[in-house]
Amino acid sequence: MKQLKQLLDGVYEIQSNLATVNLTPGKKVYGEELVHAEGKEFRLWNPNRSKVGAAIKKGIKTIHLKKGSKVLYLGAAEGTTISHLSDIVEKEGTIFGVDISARSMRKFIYLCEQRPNLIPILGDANQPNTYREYLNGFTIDALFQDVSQKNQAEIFLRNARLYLKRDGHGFLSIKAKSIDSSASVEKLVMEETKKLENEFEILETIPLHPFEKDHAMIHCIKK
Amino acid sequence: MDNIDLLRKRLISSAKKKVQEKYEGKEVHIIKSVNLLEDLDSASNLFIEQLREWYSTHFPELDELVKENDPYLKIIYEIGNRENFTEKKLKDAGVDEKDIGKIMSTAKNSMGSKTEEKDLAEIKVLALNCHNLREQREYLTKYLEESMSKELPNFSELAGAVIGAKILAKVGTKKKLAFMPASGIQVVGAEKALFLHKKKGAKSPKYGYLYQHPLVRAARYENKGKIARSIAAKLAIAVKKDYFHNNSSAKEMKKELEERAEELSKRTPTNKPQPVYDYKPPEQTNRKPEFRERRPEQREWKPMRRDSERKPFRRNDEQKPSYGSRLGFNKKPGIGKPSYGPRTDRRPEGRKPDYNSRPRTEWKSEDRKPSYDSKPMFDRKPEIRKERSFLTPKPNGTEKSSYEKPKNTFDKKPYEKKPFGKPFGKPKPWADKKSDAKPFGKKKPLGKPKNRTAKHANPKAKFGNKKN
Repeated sequence: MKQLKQLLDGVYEIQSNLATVNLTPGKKVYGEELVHAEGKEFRLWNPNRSKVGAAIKKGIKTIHLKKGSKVLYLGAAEGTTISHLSDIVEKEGTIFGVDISARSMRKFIYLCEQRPNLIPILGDANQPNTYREYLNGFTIDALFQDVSQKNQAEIFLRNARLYLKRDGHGFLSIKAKSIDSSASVEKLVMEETKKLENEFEILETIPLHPFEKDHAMIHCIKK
Repeated sequence: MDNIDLLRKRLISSAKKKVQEKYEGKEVHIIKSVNLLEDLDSASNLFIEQLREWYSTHFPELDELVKENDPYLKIIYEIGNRENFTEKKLKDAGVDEKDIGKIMSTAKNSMGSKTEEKDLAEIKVLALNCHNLREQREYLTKYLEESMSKELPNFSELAGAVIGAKILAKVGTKKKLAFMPASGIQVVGAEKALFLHKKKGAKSPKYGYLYQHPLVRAARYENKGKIARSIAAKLAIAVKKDYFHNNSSAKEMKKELEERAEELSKRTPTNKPQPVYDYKPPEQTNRKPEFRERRPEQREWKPMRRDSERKPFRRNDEQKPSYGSRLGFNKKPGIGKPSYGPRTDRRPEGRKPDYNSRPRTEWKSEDRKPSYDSKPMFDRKPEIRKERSFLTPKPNGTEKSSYEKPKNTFDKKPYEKKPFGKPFGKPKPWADKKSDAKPFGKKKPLGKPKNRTAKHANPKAKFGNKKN
């Protein structure tokens, strides 16, 4: 008998491993394990490869996702984290994944064709006006960001002003080395939170040690 | 939800088109083939080492007799068993004629065991694969040269196909290369040293991938950086010609580079060329000497030290006076005045040392004994300080401003003509003697240094009778 425990909406824990219910049963995305329990198929979530998974393991209170929510994800890459988010959101919801490199888009498009709630956008998150026409009629509940650029806070602010609705949740993962590789991590995280203080209400900042080195996740709500 | 489905299909097809566009062009293939080249080399070397060890169980002497890889491989996959060696076959494989005799004699009486054909067949397969890898490498280099001469003809002519392709691979696209400065191209490949230099202040690197260029390899150590710089400068021009489709060749630039290399090689430390200036600063004659150049006696606003105040040197036993004592705030009475410090005639009130508090008999060896001055301290006459002019109020009409109005305004220079307020700007050291624009009070004539001891020795000269 395998112990199943529900942590959040759609996120479970099986024998101290994170897991989500598989939308496309029988198929793997990045070589993870498939587990059967209580008549459903689960996909195990590796926190070493995903920042959101690491944050959940460290004890973040909510991801603010449920059936039918709409999500914008900046820095989609090959779709390892997005696949788990689409498992949580299920068929009624949608996820827009933005990435700038064509090489990782190749695998992400292959993923999108398999799942009906994923939408790819090949574009620069620094210029959110370029993909404005696609997101025009939608109100976005949550904004995730995992981009390793120097002006991470700026990108977050620009996209949130255009797309994120009021009382919508934002999850910004900061990579301290891409901002300044010689300064201390705490100082940089404090500076980035100060940039967000005017327009966001910051709930928590979680360091992602030991899963990711010198990373932190900021959880905030738009005022 | 039909809205979303339509959007999704539209976006998937547009993303596919964009991905297609990015992979058009030959740059991509150049970059991938250059990355393969290095890996091919390392892979083939790995396998050849294993081959040599394996075949040496059958014929160990061949490993030392045939050191080159190509004939060794051919011998194995064409002949295999050492009993089937013939002189013809060895010649076809490419072995030197000197070694053929040795090989034939050792083949029959060798230390290695007799192996079956089944086992030798596996060794032959390995040898074939190694041979194919080396052939692939040769074809790849030819393909690289052809494609580089089509894409970036001038760039590859100056730098060579392989080095040019490596630089392209590091930078990413043709456009980025074209907009890069020459100093950036010079240093591509040495990123570790570059960032150490930027962040931690280490020495800057002089060459990256250009170190493998034939001109740089041939130069002496002192001249390698100079040639790398000139090559990079020409490369920057060549890339721009290629990107903007200028139909000109790079032969002249190549000639210039070779000439420069020759010039550098002829240089010896003695006949180094002197730098040539187009502009020489004019010799300044009849120039008023700068403040620093003047003798200390001529510096008008600093006093000359009194001979009695000078201290030759400090002995090891003596304690170094504290900072407060240097400023004139002596805590211990009886300790003499240091020679460095402020003017003694301008010491502020209330901080005089008490000469009369400690008699000389109470002095200890710790105190400084003025051996250079025969007079004891408390026998000296007290100082007479000149009162500061701004402290005493003056009657109306006699006040003078620090700036004196000049009478003729049309003879004076523009910075002197201002009638109100103080003169603006700092005075220039080569200004005329007649100018009054000075921040430190009135002008004084240069002359003999004043002997201030004379004044103090005779207080009646200025202030009249004053009793102690």
